Amino acid sequence: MEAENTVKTPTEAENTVKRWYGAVGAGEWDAMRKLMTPDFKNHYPPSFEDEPLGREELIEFFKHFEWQLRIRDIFSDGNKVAVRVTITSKQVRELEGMPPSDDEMSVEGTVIWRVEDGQVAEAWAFPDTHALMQQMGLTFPGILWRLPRILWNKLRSRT
Amino acid sequence: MRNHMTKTEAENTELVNGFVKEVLVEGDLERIDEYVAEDYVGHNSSVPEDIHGPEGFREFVTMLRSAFPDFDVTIQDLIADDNKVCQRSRQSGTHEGAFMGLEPTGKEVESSGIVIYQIEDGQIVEDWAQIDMLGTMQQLGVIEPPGE
Repeated sequence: MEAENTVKTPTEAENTVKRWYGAVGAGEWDAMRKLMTPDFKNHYPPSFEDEPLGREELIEFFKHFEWQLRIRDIFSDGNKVAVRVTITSKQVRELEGMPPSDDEMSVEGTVIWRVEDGQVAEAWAFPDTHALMQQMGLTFPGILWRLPRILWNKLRSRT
Repeated sequence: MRNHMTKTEAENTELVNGFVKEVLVEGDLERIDEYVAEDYVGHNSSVPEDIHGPEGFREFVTMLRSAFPDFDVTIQDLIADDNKVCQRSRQSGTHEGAFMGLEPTGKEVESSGIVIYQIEDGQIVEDWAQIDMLGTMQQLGVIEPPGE
């Protein structure tokens, strides 16, 4: 996977993050797991999830989709890596009673990663929730089952 | 791994801190010409269209601060690399003016977000802001959670 705006030599931390995206894009879940620390924490915005997701929860969620991940920008300071990425997902396994679909959902996102010794240890991930809302509004309620489980659960828990 | 910021990275970090404090939090519109380049383009998930130039940014800040007069930003993380700075922050404010077509609700809202700035010659030339608009809209009571 090539980043568009990077001409300088990538750092080790950047390479670790790129390897993680590569594994997810290839659906190589064991490789994805090996690139994550056992106590990995993923922070979504509070509207998605109050509590951070752990490594196994995140892998389990990711397994339900095919992912195309296009890194638009990547840079770092020490063990912190910033990424701007376009994420396209297609649900390929039934998820909480929601059937798979050929429809794709595409969203921009920005993520900060903390890397420890060749593994990602923590992430703060911000998808374009405005775009998600627009997509919800356009085809509501048909879009709902295609939303990430976390968003779905969050919305459902408010009812 | 690098442990020391270059001079540019230190200056850019200082620039982002100053920009957030003076322009966004204190609402000093005069300083925008200093921080924002002539050919600036802002991509912000909280507004539908890109923001262009210092004049466009002045309109954005005016809208933001009339919607949320006590608008505040707490920077939680800054990552500086060459001509880029990534900022993770929390924003808060009381909804006292029109925002995205929504009449004032008087509600206090808090939101989180990440902004990436591209800085050339001491000015912001482009930025990409992902703000948790879903959370903001939920707190404002605009988004009704769907039923089963």
